[in-house]
Amino acid sequence: MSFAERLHPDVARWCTEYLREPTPPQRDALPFGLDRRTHLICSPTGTGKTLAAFLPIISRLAALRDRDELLARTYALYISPLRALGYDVEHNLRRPMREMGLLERPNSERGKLRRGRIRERFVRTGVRTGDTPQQERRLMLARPPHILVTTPESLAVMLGMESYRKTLRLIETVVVDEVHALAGNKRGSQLALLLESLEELADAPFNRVGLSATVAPLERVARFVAGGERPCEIVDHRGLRSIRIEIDAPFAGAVAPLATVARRAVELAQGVRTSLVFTNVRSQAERVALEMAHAMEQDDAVETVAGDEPRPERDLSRIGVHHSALERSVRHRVEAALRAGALRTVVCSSSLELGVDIGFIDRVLIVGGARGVTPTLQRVGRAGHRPDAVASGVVIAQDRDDIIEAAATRRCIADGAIDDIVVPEAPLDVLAQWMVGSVCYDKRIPIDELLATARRAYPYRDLSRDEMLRCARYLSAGGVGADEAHVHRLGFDGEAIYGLGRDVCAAFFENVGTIPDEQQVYVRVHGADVGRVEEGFASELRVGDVFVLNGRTLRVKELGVSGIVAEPYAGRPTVPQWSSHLKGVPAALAREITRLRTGVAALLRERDPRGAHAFLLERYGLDGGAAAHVVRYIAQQQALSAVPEERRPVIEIYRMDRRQTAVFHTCAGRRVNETLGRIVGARVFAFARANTQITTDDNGFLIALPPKVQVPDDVWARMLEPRDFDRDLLEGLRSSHLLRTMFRHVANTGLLVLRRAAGRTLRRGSQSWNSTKIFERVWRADREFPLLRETLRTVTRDLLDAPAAKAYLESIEGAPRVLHPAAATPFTFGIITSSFGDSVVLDDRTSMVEALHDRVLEVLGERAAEGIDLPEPALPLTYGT
Amino acid sequence: MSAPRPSAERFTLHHGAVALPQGLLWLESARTLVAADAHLAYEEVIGGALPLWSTAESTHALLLAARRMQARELVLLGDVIHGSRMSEGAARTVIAALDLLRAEMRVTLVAGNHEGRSRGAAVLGATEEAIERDGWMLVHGDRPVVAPRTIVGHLHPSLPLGGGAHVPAFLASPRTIVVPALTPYSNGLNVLSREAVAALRTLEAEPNALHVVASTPDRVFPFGALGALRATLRAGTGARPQRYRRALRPDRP
Repeated sequence: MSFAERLHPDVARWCTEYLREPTPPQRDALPFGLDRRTHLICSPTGTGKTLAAFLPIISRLAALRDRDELLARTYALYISPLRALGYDVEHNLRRPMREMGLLERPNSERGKLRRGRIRERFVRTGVRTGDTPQQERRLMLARPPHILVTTPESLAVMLGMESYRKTLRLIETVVVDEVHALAGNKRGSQLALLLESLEELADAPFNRVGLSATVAPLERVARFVAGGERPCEIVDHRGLRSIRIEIDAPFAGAVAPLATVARRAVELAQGVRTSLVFTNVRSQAERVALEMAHAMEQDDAVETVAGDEPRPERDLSRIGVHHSALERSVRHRVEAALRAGALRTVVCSSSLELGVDIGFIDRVLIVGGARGVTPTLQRVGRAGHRPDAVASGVVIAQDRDDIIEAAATRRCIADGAIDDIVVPEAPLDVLAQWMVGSVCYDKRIPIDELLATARRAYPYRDLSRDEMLRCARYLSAGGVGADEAHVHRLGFDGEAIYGLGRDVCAAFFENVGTIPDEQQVYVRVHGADVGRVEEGFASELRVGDVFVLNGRTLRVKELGVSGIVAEPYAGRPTVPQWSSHLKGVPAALAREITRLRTGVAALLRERDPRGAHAFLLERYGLDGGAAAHVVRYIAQQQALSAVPEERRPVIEIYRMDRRQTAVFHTCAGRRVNETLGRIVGARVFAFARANTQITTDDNGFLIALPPKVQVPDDVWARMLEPRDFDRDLLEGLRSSHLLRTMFRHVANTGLLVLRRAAGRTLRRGSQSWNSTKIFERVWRADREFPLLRETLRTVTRDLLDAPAAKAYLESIEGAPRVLHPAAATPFTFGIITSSFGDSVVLDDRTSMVEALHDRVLEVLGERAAEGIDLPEPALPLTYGT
Repeated sequence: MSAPRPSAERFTLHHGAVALPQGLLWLESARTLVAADAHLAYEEVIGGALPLWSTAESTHALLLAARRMQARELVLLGDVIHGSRMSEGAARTVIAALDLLRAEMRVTLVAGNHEGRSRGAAVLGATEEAIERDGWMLVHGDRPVVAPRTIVGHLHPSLPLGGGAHVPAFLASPRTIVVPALTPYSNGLNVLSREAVAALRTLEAEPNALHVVASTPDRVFPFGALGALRATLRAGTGARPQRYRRALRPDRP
């Protein structure tokens, strides 16, 4: 190893003995680390990034020890967005350090003797998160770990406390793991500010090491890591792992029932030792796991008790469920069992996308699709943890849109077209919280000095002085608009802000962080908490309803303020699962999907279905069966209506349930579609004075008018004009639930309303009620109130995508086509089923799509046969009916 | 008064007790206005660095109603404030609000559980455990009472309107009247819920016989007996509709 001579001999010896060959990221990053230069390492999971970051740190600590210069101070910080990841890393770090002879043996005599000494003979590591017990925190203060593993929130607390601040002055290196999961959200904004606070505190500048899975653009992420104008080296090994994605379409018509998908998943999992099944929503994870357990039971020919008698609980010992609504202990058990090989199959939502250590996975299955290039890479990257092994994943398509999405995703990966990460621009709620923390307990900081510090944090580089002043005024009891308040979070004399002592800081420590409190309700079975469901879902439940949680079918026995009491039940669920955030296709992938569709459509217009088929095989690598599915799908759409193009959307008008319903095929990605839906909703209201029901999906949005209200075609065609964009968007959001929910989160983060006060958490039901009331009052009192502006920014920029939506409207060429198809067109199946929301139970979705499809075939009749001459899509393997 | 009636500006419950808009109760003979659970300065209790909007609004509403009814007395039926821990500024605001009311009429404060019986004394002044007006015993309602006729607050009864919205509602029988909360910061106890029935049982042997009178800022809406109302609403919802079936065949344009 060329860099071996620069490493401390103990570390170098360990490397030659255990590492043999450094991985490419290690080879390229170590020189930067040894020079203590700030750098960003971007490579897939399992390519040795963490060790690349830590080897120089360990080497440096070993050298300090040799020179007898190692003090009881923290030299390196490792910050991870996940607590669990922090524990893993510390655990994984201790083994090599022990082998290098750097770690003190627990309770050794030597250690005890030396405890009083200032110079240290051993290197210590420690973890400090919200979970760390008080006693451990005290020990940590007495003898600070040299390498401290923590989270952004705990760092905020430490930087607020004088006792901890002392231990952080000698900091030399800060490692930020999973940057891709931080830079794009407010936790990242918070961390960026905190690192600048740390710079202010540290005796000398420290270097930063960013570790990231595949992300783009790297320059932006590097600037985020470095902050200010500081240089940042980039170690780019994004393409290090070969990824192979297969597409499996286990259906003949238009859609695969969940049971078929699960059966296919069981078959695919059988050939390998361990497999991980990804779904997009928690509820789907539950249902897929349940169906897979059924399928496994059938395989084992397990006798099921027939008739009305309740069947015994299903044996789920061979299949695990993992998602963020489950109790932490349940999740940890699943992770440990997977690592130990006790559990061969785990069904999860995106919860296992991040780098929690789950050992080697042989095969990754993605049900439906991952809705994006980056999540696809992360999911498939879970397979075969060796950097030189090909990571292989199978997308099990549930319908024809899934085939197209998977094909387009694969094309994007091959072209290196990764979704750009969007860094939130100067979130004011996070700024306000940071300002309060900065002056704990009684520091005084001139506003211009604070502004300069904040601007070095990448998300705040363009922060205006005025915005900071507004925050300072609000925090110093300036109130809202002309209405004065009496609660001070800090003092402000026009020149500087200053801390107000213990009580205020206590409120800050209790409410630190930006993670929105998800409104969740506990579910108890036989007196034990088994998990949580979202409050909105819980409020719809009635006693006797049957739902699925943690792979178990449960029946509601009691609904109370404190939670849901349920009992195990053997039978079909009567309600759809609780709706978690559904992830949407990002713009870049949406463009590729449109390209695929229009490419096929163009060839079909030239009456060349075989050419279209060949186009899918060549450009998208689909197999014959999947390609035939797609060609038929697009041909059906074209025969009934038209295929939307990138700059020419199609608007289809239907009458459904006696309501005029318009489906806008805008194909610009989920966030843009969602934005456009709000605008068109506002415009329809302005035209017809009628409230509409809006449903959004990846390919467009649907607007259902109330009965008797009618909008003429020429008005529909004008709905997508860019004129008055901002006004109409604000109008569309004005009374929305989205704005109110976000206001609650922003008000919590910005310390306007506390989540926890004097040691107790406020009841969530009242919280959401209160914040709706408060939102209305703030809206009336002061539109420029910083946290109201921040709410609007979060909604229009982070959740929706107003700039892209505006650009899309401006790019439309000519008037959109307004058509009246004779039957619901295939491109609308997804959105129509979604528009029925909770009244469609998951299983019914399949039968509904089948019925819609039958109707299409009926209407098209001979017309379909004449144009297309392709083999029927072949069914892979065998499927029961 | 068992059946639902059209909305009105006032609605007589029992024995000279009248439901008014804003969730206020009027005792005719004594010319006493009764408001429960004002929870003044609540914005600070929820940890808010907020202006005390609700204090100003509640005071304003009470003054208007008192003037319109030419009230001799105002009874605040407990939980006037929400805990005695509040900022100096908030305490001054609440004291000023009470002074404003006291300048117009006699103000009697009944002790509630939230100001902590006596702890709020610095802000509120003297409070009474129970008082009697027009043959009714007026108490906060957090502790059991033995009296032939009682008026209580404490429960914050409200009627859900769907979509997460609620409207304050009186509950009344010849022996018990529950006055809804004055504070806007409470979605209240859903009178249709099981918890409500359990809570009401401590006050009234037959909770389902209690009459529900919803109260908006300008009108009152008598809904009839609670049991009958619940039965009506249940019949209205029934099984989950499968209306999407109809969407399968779009009607012709």
